[in-house]
Amino acid sequence: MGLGLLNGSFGVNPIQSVEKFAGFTALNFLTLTLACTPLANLSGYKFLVSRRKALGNYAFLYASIHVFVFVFIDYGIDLGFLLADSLNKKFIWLGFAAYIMLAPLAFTSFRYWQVKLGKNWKKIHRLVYVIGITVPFHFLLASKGSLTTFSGNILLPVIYGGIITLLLILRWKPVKNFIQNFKPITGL
Amino acid sequence: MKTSFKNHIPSSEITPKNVYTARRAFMRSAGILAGTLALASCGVSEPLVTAEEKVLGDPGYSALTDERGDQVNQLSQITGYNNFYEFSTDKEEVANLAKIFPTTPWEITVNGLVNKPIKLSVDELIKKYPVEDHVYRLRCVEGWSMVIPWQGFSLANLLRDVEPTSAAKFVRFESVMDLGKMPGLANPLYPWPYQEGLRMDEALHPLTLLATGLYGGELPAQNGGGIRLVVPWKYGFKSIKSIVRIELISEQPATLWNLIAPNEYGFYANVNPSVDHPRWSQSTERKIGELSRKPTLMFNGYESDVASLYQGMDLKKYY
Repeated sequence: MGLGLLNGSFGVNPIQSVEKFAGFTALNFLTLTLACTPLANLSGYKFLVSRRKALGNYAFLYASIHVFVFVFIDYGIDLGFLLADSLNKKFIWLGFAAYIMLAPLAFTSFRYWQVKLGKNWKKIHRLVYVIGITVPFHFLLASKGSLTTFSGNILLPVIYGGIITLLLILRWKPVKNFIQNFKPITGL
Repeated sequence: MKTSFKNHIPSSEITPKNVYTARRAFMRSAGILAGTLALASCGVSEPLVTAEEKVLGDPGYSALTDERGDQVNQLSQITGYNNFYEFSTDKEEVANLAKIFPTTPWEITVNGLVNKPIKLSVDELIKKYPVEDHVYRLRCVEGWSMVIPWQGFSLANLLRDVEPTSAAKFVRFESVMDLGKMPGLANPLYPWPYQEGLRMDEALHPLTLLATGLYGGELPAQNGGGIRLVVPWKYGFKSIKSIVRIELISEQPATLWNLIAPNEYGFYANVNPSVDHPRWSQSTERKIGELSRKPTLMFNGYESDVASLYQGMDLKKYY
């Protein structure tokens, strides 16, 4: 990505391009992270579960680049400009909230914390469901369109919101049980 | 009225047209010669004038500044970063898609509440209304800006000739809808065609331009060729591209972005750092090519020219 900045492949407005690219990549990793468990349940490929940690940490890495570029490069740490432009914008609050929730999950993703936190570890890491709902709304409000009139550039955020909603529904006990009972018939 | 907006470009700074057209002709023949040598064995022939060549412009323009001293953007930035959703929502993909879009000949109809409706080609317009250089700041609602050397004429000249009736209160503009060459038009999430509007006094303001050229060259398709509107004190989306129809009407017209999100894009859309947008900063902007942001100016720096148009209006209500 740094190389891309140097050779001009991030285009005419490189700061905004990097912000968008890093944010979108973070969302993709977040979606993949949330897909692991339901796909493992459906397919029986249990190894998918062990990939969650790495994918989740990649989501955090790209989210960090996204936030870093916004605060330190886009606004050049000019707190006056940054606050004046941010405080009244819902999408920035949503993005900020998602990042604040994601950070502790990344920091406690290691075995040491998993053992140390015991039962609480799982509870804390359920925050990822909230993040999964928050981020598509952040994306939607940052996109040039409107859900009210269902027009403009809203297709991608709506699709990602839909995918994540589906992934969350697949974790819901009644749905999970229904699929489990269905499996012997279809031979899945 | 003040005339600070008039950009008197020293003639010494601009290459005379006959010089650069001659230079281009030379380059072209040199290119053909080199191309012939290189391609003789392959049997490939090249078109004599490519789309890029048409929009080359005059490099002399890159040294110009606006009246505040800000230098014009590079031609590659102006022609490579375009909000033109009829082609693509990706600003850096538009130029590529617009390559096959024909901008000549281009016809424009002016009708509605007028005594003398007309239909003219851009060539005829240029003969009738001599084009002049205008270096304007362009402030996009998305928080970026450029300084652009346009060639064009005041819309007022054209409007006076069609003789608007006393019932005409607004001017409505409509963009071309070329379904075959504009893939973005297939996107059903936009209420096509692109349409925009101005109040009569805004349309008659001498700053309001119909542009037919850029950087001393033709107006490239991605920048709104054959002919576009330039209203420098309003956000860029008001400056509608590739116009085929201008209609004088009695009611405030619907505009594309206002139909999509009325709470975000008002009819007036004057550049105003104190009226916020839910998404982008309106108090600061980044000039394309610069690293840091700078404060956005009231009416994009044209306050002394246009503030009188909005006297007594609550600009927070009429955003």
